[in-house]
Amino acid sequence: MAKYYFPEEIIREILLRLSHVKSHVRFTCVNKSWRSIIKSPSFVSAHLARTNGSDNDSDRLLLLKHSGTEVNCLHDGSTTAIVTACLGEQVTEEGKHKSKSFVEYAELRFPCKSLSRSFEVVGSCNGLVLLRRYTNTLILWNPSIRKFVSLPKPDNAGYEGCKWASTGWGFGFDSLENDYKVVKIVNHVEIDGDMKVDSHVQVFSLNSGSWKTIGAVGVPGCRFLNDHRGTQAFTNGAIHWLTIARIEKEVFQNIVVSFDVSNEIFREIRLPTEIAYAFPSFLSISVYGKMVAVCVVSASVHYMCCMWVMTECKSWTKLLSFDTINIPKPLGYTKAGELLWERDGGELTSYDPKSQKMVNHNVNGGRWGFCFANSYVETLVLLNEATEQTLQQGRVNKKRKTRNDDTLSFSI
Amino acid sequence: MSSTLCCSFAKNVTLRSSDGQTFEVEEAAAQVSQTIKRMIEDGCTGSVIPVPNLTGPVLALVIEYFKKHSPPSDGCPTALLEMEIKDWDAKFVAVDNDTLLDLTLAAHYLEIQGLLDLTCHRVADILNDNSVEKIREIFHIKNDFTPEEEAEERSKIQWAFE
Repeated sequence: MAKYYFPEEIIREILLRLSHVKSHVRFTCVNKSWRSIIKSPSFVSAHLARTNGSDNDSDRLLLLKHSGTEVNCLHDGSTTAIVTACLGEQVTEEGKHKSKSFVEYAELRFPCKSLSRSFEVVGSCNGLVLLRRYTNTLILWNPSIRKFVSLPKPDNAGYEGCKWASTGWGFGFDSLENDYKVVKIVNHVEIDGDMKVDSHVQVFSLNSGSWKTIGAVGVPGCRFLNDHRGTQAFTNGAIHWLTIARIEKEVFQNIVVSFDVSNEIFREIRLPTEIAYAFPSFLSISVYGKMVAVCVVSASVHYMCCMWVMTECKSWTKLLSFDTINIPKPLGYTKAGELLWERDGGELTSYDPKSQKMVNHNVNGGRWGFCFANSYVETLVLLNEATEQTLQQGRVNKKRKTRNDDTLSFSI
Repeated sequence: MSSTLCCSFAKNVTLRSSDGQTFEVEEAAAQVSQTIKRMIEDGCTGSVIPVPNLTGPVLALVIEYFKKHSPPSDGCPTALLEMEIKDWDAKFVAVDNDTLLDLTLAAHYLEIQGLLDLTCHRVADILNDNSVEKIREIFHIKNDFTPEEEAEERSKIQWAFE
């Protein structure tokens, strides 16, 4: 039998082609060389590039649902909050009838128990999910490798002396610096006075492990639409929020505010009239393919759901509309382009604009509904321990600084 | 080794494996390998081209690959031909693990990008659902973790073994 000497570069090429990150994680135990290849930042980046560039047919979804409070857990017999990640794939049945069904279904536990109560999904990109508890604890989580890190909290600047503030949170990827960023915008908006009083913007960079305050140039005087779902969308290097802005005295309009994650520049994007004056609670924002998509639900005899997408030249096109007797709660999209929405009873349903068919997926969001349902890619981001070390270092520095400055500590 | 008759003056080169076997192959086909292409360009075609990293049986397989993948003499490959080649490729790498790894190494040494893609993909497919022990067996890898180190590594990622 041949004695193999396999150059590391070939092992790397082979490992890049594994189809499940679960295998990558397991193979870190093969030997030290394999462990260092798989955990190297360059491998994680190369794997991400392959995943984002690949054209495979699998339509992986990540579904997150609230399981409610501990009281409810006792009530319905479940012990912990459950997160479900599912894979929907086209299955050819007899008679060439194609239908979508969940062929793989994994239930994951939340990264930490304290999250089971109340949290929101700030955003998701490159297989990472940013969760925020209402106490402003931030958890960056990669469900596919079951790893999470706690991010430091931003400081409370921006709230001083204002009667009314609106806060927007965002999460995105800076492809120039290969960095993940969290943005927190605090807008003072006087309801009965002028449009805007002040804005305060903080940006967290995962590479540096710390927050910084940046100029708020370009942030309009707006209120962020904060809901449990669909309040920001990251695509093409920018985070997009749905907001309400007063464009003239007594005239309010829904607009999109975008933030370029690399250049840290804000912009305003106007919406078509049909959405600009819609009731804000009936709006949601998400990413369709690589485009920003806004869904608007209106009520007449039935409920009507329309989806608009922003094309490259910042113009808007209505891509689909359907009516239903249920109040549709749009959540996200499958890779194949179907709209995922939740029915009144919490059931996950998809609408295919091509065939105009509804499919009920027999997955229920439960009493509290889904807070996230979208297409999803498996990545190895956070596998390397470097992130924890950076964050740890950031905490140490902050504590030292805090001691020296004799100011308040914000460590978590 | 017979050559096709479509071109009247197809030039041949001779390749010699590590165990001394020689194979004659059309020069255009052998140039699927970037390594051999450079040697031909450097004027090494006068005599036999040594391929010291490959044994006879592996070189014979690689030459089959050359022939299938040599640029067609009559212009662009058709979609039908591409499909046929794809099928052929799939069958070509449906071999035992040792042969597959030999071919992977051969693709690396001879710089045959298409074959490297093909074999790496096939190896990855085989590895996907395998255990750590099986991986070590396939690659003849020595485990350099101490039992304590390995137990610690595994305990951190228990879910990946379920």
